[in-house]
Amino acid sequence: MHTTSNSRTSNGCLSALPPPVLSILKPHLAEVTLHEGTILWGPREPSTDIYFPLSGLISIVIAMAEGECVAVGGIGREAMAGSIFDLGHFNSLTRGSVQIGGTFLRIAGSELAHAARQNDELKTLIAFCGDWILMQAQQLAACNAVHSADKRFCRWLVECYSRVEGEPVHVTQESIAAILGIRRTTVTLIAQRLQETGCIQYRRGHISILDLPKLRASACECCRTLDQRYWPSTRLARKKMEAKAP
Amino acid sequence: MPLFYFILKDGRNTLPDRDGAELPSAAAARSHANAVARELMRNRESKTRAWRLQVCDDDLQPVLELSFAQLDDSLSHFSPEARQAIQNVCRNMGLLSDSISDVRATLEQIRATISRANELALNSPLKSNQIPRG
Repeated sequence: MHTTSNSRTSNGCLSALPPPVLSILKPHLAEVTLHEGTILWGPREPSTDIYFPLSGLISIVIAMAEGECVAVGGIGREAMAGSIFDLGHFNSLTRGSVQIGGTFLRIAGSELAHAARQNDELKTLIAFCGDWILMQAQQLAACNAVHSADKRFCRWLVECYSRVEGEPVHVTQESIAAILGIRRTTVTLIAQRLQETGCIQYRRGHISILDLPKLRASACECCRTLDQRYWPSTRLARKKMEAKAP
Repeated sequence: MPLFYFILKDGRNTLPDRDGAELPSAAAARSHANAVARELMRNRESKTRAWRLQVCDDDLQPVLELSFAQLDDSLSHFSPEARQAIQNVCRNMGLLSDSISDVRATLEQIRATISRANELALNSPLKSNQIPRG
């Protein structure tokens, strides 16, 4: 149904690391293929692993006691997700799950922590990825409070699109509903409306973006605020450039 | 469990939820419709006030229709009379847009009939410029 193109086989953060640093991590990285809906960690399912997406998307969700869920962040090829704040000793409030299936590199948090102890580049990588999760959580806290469901839907689509690099986005209506904290019926009606205006085409869990500028214009300001400038991969690459400059 | 369909009328388009939702009763369908309407209007109440959400049963027969203006909490600081006046305006806007879409549908039908008539005339052995003699 959907083939993975060869260009999507790297993680932006890992590519931005100098080769000697990457070779420290390499023996500990295991490639795994994960399907949509796989739970990577949760309040009742602690995990000490860290994931670098090579494709696909991980969503970071807060689930309430009554069952309502709202996403407080999303991680694609621009960063890593998992037990970042407390490497190897993970006790999280959030739940991490695979929003869009793909290929991921997994490493034990303790191994990354061990490697980072002797390496400044890895310390920076961990700090930038922590910043990114914090920045998203701050922006989305405000976004979820004051922006309308349709603008948030568009924002989420634009973010997905920029992270999976133009591939069609494969998601179910239920999973979008869980991300945005709204009912499945609401998601369908919003998607129908966007389809009517020519922004997207939506068929059985497969969204194709037909008019990106129009979709961007329909989204809230948050997708412009949380843009590529703040991606850990961009910041690492910039830092590398600055270090090289005389 | 019975299946219910939810149809959004935003004044310009009539947007159906083709999958429908299984709900135990008409009362449950009403409270689901209430929740969906609130989610659709939240943080953009003034733009969606004239929208309506229709609930249909399994045979696509209308069960009820909610007006967003009736659910709009951002109007709660107005006096009951002012609220009622706004709701009336919204209801009339709804009726007007229903009439406009009826007119549009009729025009579409007329256009289709005319083009079908033209097609038949073109394909007919009696071309318009060949008036039968005798």
